[in-house]
Amino acid sequence: MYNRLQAATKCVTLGCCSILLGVLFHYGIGSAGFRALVAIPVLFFTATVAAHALVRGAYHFGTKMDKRSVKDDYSETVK
Amino acid sequence: MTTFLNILLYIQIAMCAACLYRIVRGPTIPDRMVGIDIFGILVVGICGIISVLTDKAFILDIGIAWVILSFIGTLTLAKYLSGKKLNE
Repeated sequence: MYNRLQAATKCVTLGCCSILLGVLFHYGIGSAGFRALVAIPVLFFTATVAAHALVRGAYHFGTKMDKRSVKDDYSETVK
Repeated sequence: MTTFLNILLYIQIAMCAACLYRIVRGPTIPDRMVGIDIFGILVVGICGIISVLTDKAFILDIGIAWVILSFIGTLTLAKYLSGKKLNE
């Protein structure tokens, strides 16, 4: 499950930011390009914050880590 | 150029179908929530591609609104899952 968060944080966020960057280049600077320019930081920050809250909630919910995991530093902090 | 954008659109829709599969068949509740989160962001990419395809700029506004609504929904689900009060 924690491995799927990898896809949620990096790949999807940066991919959609790249799509919106392409939209910005397509429209140029103007009314429509400004909307794409606004959407990029909004998407970037909300997606990362949401993924962080999600993995925090999943940890407190008690999701088990994989058997091959070797390190769990957060369990000392949360006590 | 239009053909390339159509292929991109179909790839994006296929990724949405994969997310729906994960939401339906997720073994645990956090798996489903990750699927919902990724689905919300993928729709924004679809909005951008459709906006370029049809040359209508107002579809980008739908994308911005969708990002914010998806963010609020994911935060609410995460807070509910961690078992804390929402006003904390």
